[in-house]
Amino acid sequence: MNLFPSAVMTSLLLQTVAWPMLVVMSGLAMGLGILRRMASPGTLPLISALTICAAMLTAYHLIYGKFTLPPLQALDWMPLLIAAALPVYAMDDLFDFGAATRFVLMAATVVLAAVLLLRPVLGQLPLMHAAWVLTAVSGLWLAAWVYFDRHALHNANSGMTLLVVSAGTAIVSVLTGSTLLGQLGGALAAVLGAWLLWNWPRPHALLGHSGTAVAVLALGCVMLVGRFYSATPLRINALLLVALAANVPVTYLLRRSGRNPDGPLAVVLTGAAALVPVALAVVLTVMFYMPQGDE
Amino acid sequence: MKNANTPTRFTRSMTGLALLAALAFPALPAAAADAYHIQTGNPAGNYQIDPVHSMVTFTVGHLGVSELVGRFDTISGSFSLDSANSDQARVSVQIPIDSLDTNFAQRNKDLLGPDYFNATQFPTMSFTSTKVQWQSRNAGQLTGNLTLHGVTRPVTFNIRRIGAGPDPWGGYRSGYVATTTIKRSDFGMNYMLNGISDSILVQLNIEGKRQ
Repeated sequence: MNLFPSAVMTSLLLQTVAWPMLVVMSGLAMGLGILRRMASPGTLPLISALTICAAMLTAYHLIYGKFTLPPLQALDWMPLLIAAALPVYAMDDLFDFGAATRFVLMAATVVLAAVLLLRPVLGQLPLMHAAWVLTAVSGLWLAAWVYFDRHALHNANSGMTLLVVSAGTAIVSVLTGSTLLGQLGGALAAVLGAWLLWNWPRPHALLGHSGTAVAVLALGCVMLVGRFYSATPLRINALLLVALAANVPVTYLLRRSGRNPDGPLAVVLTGAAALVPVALAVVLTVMFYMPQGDE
Repeated sequence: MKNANTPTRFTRSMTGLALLAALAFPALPAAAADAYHIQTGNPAGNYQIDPVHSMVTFTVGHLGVSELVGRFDTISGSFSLDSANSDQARVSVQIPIDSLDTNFAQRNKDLLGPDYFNATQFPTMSFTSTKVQWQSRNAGQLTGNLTLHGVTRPVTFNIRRIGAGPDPWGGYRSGYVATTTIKRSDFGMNYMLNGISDSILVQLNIEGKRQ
């Protein structure tokens, strides 16, 4: 048995970064190199969604050891949710459900996901409190998803925002006491990083409805489990949620200055804008929320 | 006329007492050690677990180089473990997961979160006996169902009776040590099996007060 002390760290990095990135890179290489010639341009987001979903499932399996069916703990729902969402929203990419139908579908998805993830917690709360928590969580999740979905057909900004927030969630999770959530958040950041590399400087395969669904659901699962099962502080979560809206001021300023809000500059500025609240969240976590000393 | 250097009667008495005390003092610890003995009273009866004198500890391998010990500070339940009457034997133990302590706050939080115990979703670990087999008057095997992390599996403890007898407050007590080794992956705790051992030694030190 190899007892070299860094073997565990090497394994963590492989599970969290290397393998997920490799899956995305190879998936996009195959998809864009081979399938693009056979399929219509409208199917390109499907290639993104498929590779991102495959990479996250690979990461989950490598990190957590196995898929648990039926799900045992809340986090076990994550792979099922993203795997189930993929075909549904892939149909939306292919056939365009329309804004109203899509909104209803998204609302149903977030309520279902929130109930599945939070059922053990909601059951311990008074009815009104549980209803308030469920409504707040579903509302925030839906708002973020609708916002990202609108941009996902035009630019890579939402991918950059999700990357930065995923990385922030990963760091905060590790600092506040969950290496597992840190790894899963890091894996999502690595996956989106690899996807961005393929879409830089010009997008080849945007996230689309299906890719956005997979990424938003995966990030939502990690953030929700962190908040409700690992006691990530509410203020830190709020800062991470603020970071999700990084695209708003960037798009506004670029439009006002007459620049392209969908270009490479927008992606960089969106990442920089998201980095500010994320960095603040990390600093505040280090200063005030890390478990201190012996008990 | 008395010489000033001649000891008085009082001085002689005090010197004698001091010598006596000095001679007797080394024997005191030995006498105290000898005073402790195992009580061998009848262990029959129904007992309520005394949480103040009971504890659950677990030993887990770390990075393949050491073994760390953690404990659960709170335990409740009841037992009846008369070796003369195995059919009537029963043990029921409940342990709140959030009473875990490994002497390091960051590690405690990690263990209580979704990585391992997930105390929010699975707040209690419990054991209910199904069978007891005694190999001797004071040693045997206790089989039952352990519920941990939402999974219930049969587990067999090796049990050793320490003693049974009256306490200084008019009650009657008996105590046991039970040990077993479980695989955490059997209970759905699969995270980081390359860094934290799958096999975990669990030890219950239980003292009960007869009802």
